[in-house]
Parts: sequence; C-alpha cells; structure tokens
Amino acid sequence: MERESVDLDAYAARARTGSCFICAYLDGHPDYQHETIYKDDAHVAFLDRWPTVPGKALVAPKAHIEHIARDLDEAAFSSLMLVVHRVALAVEEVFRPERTYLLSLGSQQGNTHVHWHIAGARPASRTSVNNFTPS
Amino acid sequence: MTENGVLAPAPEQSADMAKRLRTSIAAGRDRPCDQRLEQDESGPGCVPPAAG
Ligand SMILES: [Zn+2]
Repeated sequence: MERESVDLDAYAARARTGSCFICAYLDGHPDYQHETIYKDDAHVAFLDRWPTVPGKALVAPKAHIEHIARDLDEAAFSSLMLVVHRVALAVEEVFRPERTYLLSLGSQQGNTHVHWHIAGARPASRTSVNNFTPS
Repeated sequence: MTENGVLAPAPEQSADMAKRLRTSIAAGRDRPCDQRLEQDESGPGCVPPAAG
C-alpha cells in the first residue's frame, strides 16, 4: 500500500465544521462511508478511512457520547472495552502486529464522538505509528 | 513512500481487509486465548496462565 500525504489543515477544518463523522457514517451519509467490521446493538467497529497502519480500526458506541469516562457507567464502559478487545484480537490475528496500540482521542473542537483507535504497530512503522491524527 | 502521511488502500483492498477482520471477529470465541471460563462463577475471561 502506498502512502500519501495528508492535508492536515483541511482535515482539521472538516473535523471542526462538518457533521459528527461517526453519526454521519451510522446514518449512511455518502461522504462518511467506512468498511464496517462489527456491529451490535450499542457499538460499531469500522476501518479507518485514512489509516496510518494497515488494518487500523475504530470502535465507537453508536450513541453520540462525548466523554470516555463520565458519559459511560461501568457496564457501558465495560461492554465497549469488550468490543475493543474483540476487534483488537482480530487485528492481531489478521495483521500480526508486533504490538497493539489502543487510543481514545478526539477533542471538543472536532471528532467529539467517543471512539477507540486500534492500531497494530509493526517494527517497520515505529517512526510513523504515532501519527493518529487522521481518524 | 514517506514515513508520514496515511496509507491509501484501494477500495478492494479495504473491502478485503474488512472481510478478513469480520471473519476473525466472528470466529473470535474459538481462539485459545479467548476460552471463556464458563464454569467459573467469576465470569468471562481468558484462561489464566499456569502458576510458576
Ligand atoms: Zn456522533
């Protein structure tokens, strides 16, 4: 897979001013399509549209929740993390990364909808794997 | 290829990756490290490694 440069300013502007990318994807908006890899009543997992490593996946609650800790009770947080674990196991099985990174990022200025990044880090990608900005 | 930037998988590459992940997720419970302690009242979890 080739790498291409990313226009971070355009990306940031879109994140700040556009629709919630996860809600738009769940609503079937044509500009926010992703490859779905898992779905249940409360969660969804899909491939990152702009992956920094092969098979980079995102897991999110379907509900528009903005705060990873205070917006989820123990049961909701635990069930979200079980989905993260399940998807991460699949990423490890399919892509055989050296190590698996989990991150929940986003900000109140853009990409507010809670989501976890699952990234399989390979030895060859050590210097670039920390670039998770495009989500 | 630069170290920064994003990968640009072709649509068919993304579809193939997603299919492989969906298959693996669907089969997930058969994986050795995901053997649920169904008889154990402590609930789901991985089988702990043997002591020592
Ligand atoms: Zn949302």
